[in-house]
Amino acid sequence: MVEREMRCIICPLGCVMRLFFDGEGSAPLWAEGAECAKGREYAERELTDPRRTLTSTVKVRGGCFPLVSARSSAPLPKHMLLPAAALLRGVSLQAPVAAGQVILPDIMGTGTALVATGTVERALGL
Amino acid sequence: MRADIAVIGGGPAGLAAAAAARAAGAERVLVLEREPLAGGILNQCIHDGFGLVRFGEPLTGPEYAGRFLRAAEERGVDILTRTMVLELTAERRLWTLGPRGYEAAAAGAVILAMGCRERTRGAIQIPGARPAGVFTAGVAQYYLNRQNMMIGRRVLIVGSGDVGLIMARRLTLEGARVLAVVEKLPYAGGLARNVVQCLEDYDIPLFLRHTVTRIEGEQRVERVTVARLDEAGRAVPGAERVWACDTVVLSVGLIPENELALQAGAEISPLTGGAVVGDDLQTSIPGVFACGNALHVHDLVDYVSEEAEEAARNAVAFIRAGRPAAGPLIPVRPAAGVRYVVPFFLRPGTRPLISLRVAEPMSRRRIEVRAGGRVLAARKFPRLTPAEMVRLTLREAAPPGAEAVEVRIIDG
Repeated sequence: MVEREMRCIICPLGCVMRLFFDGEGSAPLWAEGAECAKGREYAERELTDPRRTLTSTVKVRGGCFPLVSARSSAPLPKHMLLPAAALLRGVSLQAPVAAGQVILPDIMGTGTALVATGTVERALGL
Repeated sequence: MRADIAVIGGGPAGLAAAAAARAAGAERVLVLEREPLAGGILNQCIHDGFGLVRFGEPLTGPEYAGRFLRAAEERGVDILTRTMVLELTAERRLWTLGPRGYEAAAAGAVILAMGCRERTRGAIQIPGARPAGVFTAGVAQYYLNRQNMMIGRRVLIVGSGDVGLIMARRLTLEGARVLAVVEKLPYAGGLARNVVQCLEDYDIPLFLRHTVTRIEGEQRVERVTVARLDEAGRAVPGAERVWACDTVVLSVGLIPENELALQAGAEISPLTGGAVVGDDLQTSIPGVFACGNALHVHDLVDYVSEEAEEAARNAVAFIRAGRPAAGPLIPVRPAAGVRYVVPFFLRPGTRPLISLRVAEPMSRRRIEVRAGGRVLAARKFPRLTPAEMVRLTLREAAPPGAEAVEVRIIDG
């Protein structure tokens, strides 16, 4: 029996979970220390396919602010966060941008969209 | 201008308070916000994790603020942006400066929702030169997330508050190299989940019991000396390391912003930096209420919103009654291990929610609220840390004649 500690990051409680394995590389047999069922779910995912939501900003042309905040519509594989963030540095939009607007329909072939989380109105020109 | 309720600050506390005041029946509710956009600090907190308690889903800061902004607008709250309150009096008169010029306002009740600000380099007295390249974490966040300006390439983060941890990840995603986070205490200042998802995810080392002892550089930061600290918090001679870097980001604590409360003569607590309030969140000035980070620095915005709504309901009750509720006040006393408790006193018969923070990390403890030999509330905690606020609702009111309410931590 192999034992390992993992900190759940689903909510601010940050439960410390103890996971028990049959051996290295196997799925956890059971977990203890989590306050809710999401902890176990997170642990299993984290061991096989760790993912995080990407939040970043995208440039806006002609807006009352130079940036709009954005997020991935679902968590991305962890190893794609840095390349995806680098890709976003080359993206720019024309104002206005509305919260909820799809900025990129498919981030690097993941099938996950990049969505605006803020609103940027057109700049009031003279 | 005349308002039933004037809310100072249009961040999460102010917006929630204003919408709740309208819902509770206040006619004219005014929010005074100095920025061009309401929403407060949430507008630059582009990461997610807000709203898990309230909405059951992880929202980004702008999304969370957007929900409350829409709610306030739909309820007919009057939000004046680019409008700064310059003066507040104990008679609930305000002087404001905004697009309409210099104006006076009178309010039936005032809600203080100014939020907090960051402690700076001056507050922690880092010796050395004073070159460019030293930022507080919130300022760094503003430059990156609102102004599209990168602040540096090789960054050392001092202090492990949540904003510093969030900025370690953000700077990394934007192409900077974050060398390390140094924390003088033996534990992280921010939430554990942020240590995992902001530092461990990106292999950024966290040096506990370490601090910066020197900043060097001519025009710009060039080098920073980090020393290991002993148990007493003194730098260990010889246990120093020099980091070559161009940027230092400070995340060394937040202080409630209370210049207006002080000016009006409200009593301020040295423990929280916020106003001294009773169970109704009313300050020492009748009709002036406080909530959110202006009252005490919160860990979660969800609780800020809830507290602001409570302050608003009490403010509406105040304007209906026309005067504060009379009666003896029972002081609330934090015992050993409790850093502070809000509220600071209770009126007899009340059963408010109390918020507190512990002084240091501990495990397997029970927090008890006692008065006159009765236990008013108690709960067990597997872990307690100063980073997390503890909230308890009293099951019963303090018995008649109780001289004080004591909040204490016991084993088990």
